Amino acid sequence: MNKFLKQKKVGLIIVGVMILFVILGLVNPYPFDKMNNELILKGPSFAHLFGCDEFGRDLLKRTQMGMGISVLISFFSVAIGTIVGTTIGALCGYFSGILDDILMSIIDVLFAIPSILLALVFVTLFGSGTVQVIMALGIAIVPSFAKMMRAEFRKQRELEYVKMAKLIGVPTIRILFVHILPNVLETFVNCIFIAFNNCILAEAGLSFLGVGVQPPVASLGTLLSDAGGYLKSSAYLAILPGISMIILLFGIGLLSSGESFHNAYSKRFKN
Amino acid sequence: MGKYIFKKLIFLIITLLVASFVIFLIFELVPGDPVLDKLGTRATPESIEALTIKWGLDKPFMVRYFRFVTGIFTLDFGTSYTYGMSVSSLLAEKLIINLFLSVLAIVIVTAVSIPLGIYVAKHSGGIVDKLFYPLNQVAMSVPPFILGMFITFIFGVILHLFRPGGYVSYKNDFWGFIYFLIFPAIALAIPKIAMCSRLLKSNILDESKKDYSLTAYARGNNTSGLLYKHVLKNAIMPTITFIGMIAADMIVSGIVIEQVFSIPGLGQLLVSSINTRDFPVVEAIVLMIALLIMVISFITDIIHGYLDPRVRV
Repeated sequence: MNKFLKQKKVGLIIVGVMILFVILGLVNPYPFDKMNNELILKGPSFAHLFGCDEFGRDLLKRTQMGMGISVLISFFSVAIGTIVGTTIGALCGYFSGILDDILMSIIDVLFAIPSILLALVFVTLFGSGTVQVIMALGIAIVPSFAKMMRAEFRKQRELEYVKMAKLIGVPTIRILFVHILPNVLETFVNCIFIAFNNCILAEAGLSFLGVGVQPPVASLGTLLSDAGGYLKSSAYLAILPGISMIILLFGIGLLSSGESFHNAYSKRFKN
Repeated sequence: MGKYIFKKLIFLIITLLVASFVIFLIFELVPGDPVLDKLGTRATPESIEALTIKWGLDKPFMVRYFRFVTGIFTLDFGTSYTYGMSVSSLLAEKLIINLFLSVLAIVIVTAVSIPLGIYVAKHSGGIVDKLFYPLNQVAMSVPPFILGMFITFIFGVILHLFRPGGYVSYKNDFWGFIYFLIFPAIALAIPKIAMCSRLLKSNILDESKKDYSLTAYARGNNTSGLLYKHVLKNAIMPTITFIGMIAADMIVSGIVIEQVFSIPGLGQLLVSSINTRDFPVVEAIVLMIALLIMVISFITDIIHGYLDPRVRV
């Protein structure tokens, strides 16, 4: 347990530093979309710490902004996914029966379609853009969230305190979200971090494929996909934003208390 | 065992029907008429009618859905709106590339992660184990496409082991094609190796704490004997399921990785079809991937059931 606590602290520090990095971007004097012919593909220097991209735009500012956008998009998607997923999971876990069967079979089908594919289909239907990506990723989170929360609520349902609450006539909504939810907080928070991690990855993947946020606004994926063509001459274009992203993901990974993807998976297989 | 397979098969068919219906329905609800989109301003009533019949859009919904589902068996998914050729011939070529890429990546994952997991579990607490944990966490945090770019940079640009972007078609040079695919496969494999070996390690350590291990130890097995004869059989089970899940995931991660290495595979076709709103192609690809994932999870269920009779109940 102690090891996990220490790990969480390190994770918190890393994520904090990355957030600071994004916030510092607000005071970065260079505009993110100002093109400058003299600075095209200029390497890192003191004036431009991360160098400049193929249009002479300051890469540090673009990385800071891109990370900010990636984090914001993931934040909203996770919010949507959490609210919808938890509600479905709570209802299904608490009341089993026909509703549970129907919703769970739909969730199982959605579970069979990978989230990035789901998001791609969504973008095909509604066009590419920031709002669409948020919606798509939000929906893509729902199945795994609902599944995890359903299992937890089902376990809690059988416990004494829930039965007592029911007996003294506490409204169901209150039992679900005021009584049970705090007791499954650990899984809940872990789910959120895992979802956040997945979202940042998926968002970067989508904008890497060019269906995410649209230029001139850039997210981390856009920066990396733009850098792809310049690996030979100016590799820093890919390496610097890439490493920033890895550090962020590393921090979030630590935060989910060592309960990263693989633990969540292995937990599912062990029972 | 037969009953178990039958049950899983029924479940597979139901899931497949629901999934295909959902996929088909979603694309049916999209606003806009593909025929008008294609013909644009040159549209005449006759040409509209001709194209509608050619694409089979004049048939009622259920008939088209039936054709779509049976397309899995007849390999007929209609005509691509953009390319004007049959979707299955478009897909066949791309699927081969992705299949080789995924298989290669899975071979790498299995070949590296199982020995690594066993080694780290056996020497737990040693120097490799201490290095293993942080390295593992880093490897899991790196998105495959960034890994792909770094691999291109290190092996392609600096070491000149392959030519970045120089995809070799399997028709021209099969071994060159495999050689080129090794690099994207490594990019796909590294995060999975991290997950897989960690899963195996923690499972081995868990199993070795159980009573039967103690008994086997008391009977005079040494550490290796205990590990290979008793513990591994139980510990490797979740890893097998996990590799099955990875197999499905590989195809999807491959979509992005292809873009990094400019391999003309399923991903490029998917993205270009999304941009041109070429629905038959998108539908077919999504269905194919969903089908593949379902079949793989069916197979892993069966293997699981075969290895562990308790699952069958």
